[in-house]
This record gives sequence, C-alpha cells and structure tokens, in this order.
Amino acid sequence: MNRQTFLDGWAFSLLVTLLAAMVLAGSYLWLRVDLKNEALSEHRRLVDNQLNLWQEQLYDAKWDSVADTSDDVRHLGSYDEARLMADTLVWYVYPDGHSIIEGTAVIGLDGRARPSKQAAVINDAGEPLDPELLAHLKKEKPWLEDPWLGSYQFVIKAFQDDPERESFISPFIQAPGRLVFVIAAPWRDEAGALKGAVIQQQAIGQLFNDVIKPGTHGVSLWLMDAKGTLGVATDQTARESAKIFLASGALPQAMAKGLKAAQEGKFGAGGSLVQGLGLETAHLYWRTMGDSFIVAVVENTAGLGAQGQRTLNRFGAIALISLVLLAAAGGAYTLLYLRRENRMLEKAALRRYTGTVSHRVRNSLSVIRGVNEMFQHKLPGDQGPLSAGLVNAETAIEDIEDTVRELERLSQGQVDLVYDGQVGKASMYRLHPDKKQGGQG
Amino acid sequence: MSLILIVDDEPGVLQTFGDWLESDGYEVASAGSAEEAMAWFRQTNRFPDAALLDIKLPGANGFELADWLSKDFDFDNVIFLTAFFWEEETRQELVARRRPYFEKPLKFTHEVLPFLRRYLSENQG
Repeated sequence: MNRQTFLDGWAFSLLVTLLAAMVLAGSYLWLRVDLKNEALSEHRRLVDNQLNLWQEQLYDAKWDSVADTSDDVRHLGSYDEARLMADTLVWYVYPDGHSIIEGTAVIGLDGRARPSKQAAVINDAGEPLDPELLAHLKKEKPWLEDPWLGSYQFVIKAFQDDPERESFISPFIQAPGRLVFVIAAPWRDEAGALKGAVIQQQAIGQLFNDVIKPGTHGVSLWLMDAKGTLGVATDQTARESAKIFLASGALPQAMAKGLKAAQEGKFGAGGSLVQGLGLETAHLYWRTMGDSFIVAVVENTAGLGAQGQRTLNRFGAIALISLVLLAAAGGAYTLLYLRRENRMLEKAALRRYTGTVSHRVRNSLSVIRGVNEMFQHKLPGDQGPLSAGLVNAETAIEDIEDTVRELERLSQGQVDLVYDGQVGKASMYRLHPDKKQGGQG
Repeated sequence: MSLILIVDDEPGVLQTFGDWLESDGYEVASAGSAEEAMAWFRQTNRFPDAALLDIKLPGANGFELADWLSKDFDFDNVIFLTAFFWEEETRQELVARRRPYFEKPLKFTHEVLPFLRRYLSENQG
C-alpha cells in the first residue's frame, strides 16, 4: 500500500477522534462551570429560603410571646391576681417535654416572680403530670418545677427607663443548665405607674430544636444575640465562624440593619459574606430577628456544588466511554477504508498496466502475424507438418488477440475486476462474470 | 512503382510491413518518428503515394504528423495504424478525421494489401 495513503487514513481517523475529544472536553469544561454555578445558585436559593423561613418563625415566636404577655397584662386589670395565675398563668408541660416556653409569670417591682412556685407542671388537660414522667423529665431538666431566674430586675428596669415601652426581649441569659431569654409586657395602673410585668421565659436550646433544627439538614449554623452571646452552634465550623463574625465587628452592623428593617415593618435584616476558615473559604448567610437575634448558616466552598460535581462526573464517564467507542469505530473504519483503498489502487494499477501490455502485444502480434502470413503466402503448395503448424500458429495468434481485447475492455472499465480475498495470500482478481460478456470490443 | 512511407516506432513492424509491401511490388520508405518523417519529406523531392502513420509515436503522435503534412506539404494521403482502437479517445479521433486506418495486429493478406491496392488504384486513377 502507498505509505502516504496509509498515513493519511490514520491521520484522518486520529483527527476526527481528536476533534470529538476536543468537543467533549469543551462540553465537559463548560458543563463543569455551568453545573457548579447552577448547583451553587440552587443551593444558595434553598439556603436563602430556609433562612427567610427561620426569620419568619423566630419573628412569630417573639410576637406570639409579646401578644401573650400583653393579653395577660390586660387580664391583670380585671382579674384577681391569684385567680389569673390559676386560670391563665400556668405552665404547660406537654408529655413529650417539648415546649419553647419554660414559664409564664407575673413579676413585681422587686424583680421577683410572683408566685414563683405557683405554676404547676401539668399536661394539656390541666392535670398534674404523672410522677414517673415528671421524674423522667426532671433528669434532663432539673429546673423543670422552678425555671425562674433569681431576679428579673432587668425587666423592671427596662420598663422604668422607658415609660413608653410596650414590650421587652432580653439578650441570652445563662440559667442553670441552659441559655434562656425573657419576653415581657409592662403592667401599669391607669395612671401609667409601673406595677410589675408579665414575662415569658424561653430556652434557646428548645427554640433551636423546635423551630430551626428540622430545617438544618446538617448544615453548620449558629444563633447569637445582639450582645454577641452565642446561643447555638451546631458544629466546630459554626463555632469558628461565629467567633470570626463577632471579632470582625460585623454584629453591631447587622443589628443596626435589623433595627432599621424592624422599624420598616420587616422581620429583620439579612445578608451574606465570605469568611476565611483556616485554609478554606466559607460563605456565611445571615438573618436577624429584628435587632434581637441573628441566625447564620456557614458553608465552605468545597461543599458547595457537590451535586453538580456528581452529575459532571457521570457526564465525564459517559463522554470518555463515547470517545473510546468513537476511536474504536474510527480505527475499524480506517482499517476497512485502507484495505478497500489498497484494492482500488491495485485495480487502477492493473488497468493501466493492461493498456501498456495491450499496446506491446498488438505490435508484437503484427510482426508475428506478418511473418506467419508471409510463410503461408510464399510456401508453394502443401508443405505437410509446416503448413499445419502455420495454421495452428494463426489460431494461437487469434487466441492471443482475444486475450488482448479482454485486457483492453478491462483497461477501459467495460469489465470489472472482482476481488477474491484469500487468507494468508496476496490479493487475487477475476473478471466480473456479469460484465465479461457485455464489453464492447 | 508506387512509393509508400511507413512511420512506426516499432522496428519489427517497420521491417515486416516493408517486406510485405516490397514483395507486393511497392517502393518503401520508413521513419521511426514524426520528426524523422518530416525530415524525410523536406529532403525528398518526391511525395509518397500513401503514408502509413502509426498513431502512438515518441514525441509528436501520428495525428499531429498528419496535420503537419497537410499544412506544410498539402499532403493528405495518410492511412493510420493503431494498437489503440479500443481506446475511446483514439477511436473518436479516427472517426472524426475520416481517414482509412488499420488496427494492429495487421492482417496483411486479407486486409492491408487488398485495401492498399484498391486505395492506390483509386487515387492514381
């Protein structure tokens, strides 16, 4: 086979494979960026939605408590305090022990809960809990029957400092075994003099477990109050992030935004920023509940777009398999092409050669026939075997002429060569039987 | 005695053809190429009665030689010889020129000599 044809054939096959590889590689790189961005956008959208939901839930939890305490204050104006406590200011502990509100109480100007021991641990039917259940719950919450702080003077002081103040929400306060915060409404007489306050005390841990945790799906999350007290941090990444956030001075800015948003009637403020956590870069998404709390989700970039990466890996595997199959198909086609090309070249060479042979043989036959005819023409009479030999020579010449004509038909493409491949041997051709009879001489 | 010029690059053909024509009473001249034939025409005062021109020749071919003879010497009594009548291009050219031709291998006793006798007789007549 022509070496150039061989090289051209394989070069073409290689080129096609390379082009396909480039297209697939380009697609892979494009998809890699696109999928990561898409996955990242989708993930951020989900995080944003979740944070907005938490913000709304925290807002609702706060204002439900504010409304409850305000209602209780109104009742204090028309009920006997002891009766009010018996009728309304009871502490429900549901059998599963899950309750955001640790307790509701009336506090006096001395800052003490009155009557601090009066609230009973009862179920939703208003009956005392089963002693065994109570004992079980008290193992986890020893403060169950007496959750109150030593003093709520900070509540009284807040209302005394601002006579117009209608509600109060405290920062996180360390109580035995847990962090709590207090929501309160002022109890004033008709002249506006402060008589005390109604408070609701809630546990941060319980708030997190009931409101936030179901939506975390294992993300790193922290919850902090306006003074920088960390209420919840789900893992070390969250703790580290909260520490950096606090140290950066971003908390007062976030709370200022939260206050402004609350004044505009919104749940709070929100935003995002990039943090450096060790060697990794993390994205922090935060929301405030007014200017009281801030909840934040932190994620390192390596974790983002993981779904996109999985999809990309699948595409990469499929692309690689496709490329291998394409290369195999290209190789097989090239082999067949080169074999066919080889036969075509052989055929073309044979055809050209038959033309040359024909020319030479016809000239030689002219000489032989001339001599043969001369003998036959010049010999007088019958010369026996010599005359017979000359006649046989004439017949042989005519046979050769027939063969030459067949070669000429082949040379003109009027008949075709049919390739008969033979295992282990060189190629062999024969004239196509259908065309052999149809040639023009 | 009629003079016949044979132009062929095959010495065997020239020799055999010449022997046949001489044995039949013709005067024979020969050339191995178109250029040689043109030189013969320029050097000789006498034109042949017929020129047998092989088509495939080294250098200019038989068709070109016929054109030169016609143009330079106003000589058109040419008869072509060819081993390529099977070739479409050659066959079409021969038909278009409307000149006599013999296909190789030449059949002297049954084709060439009878035709030449008739042809020369008609042209001389």
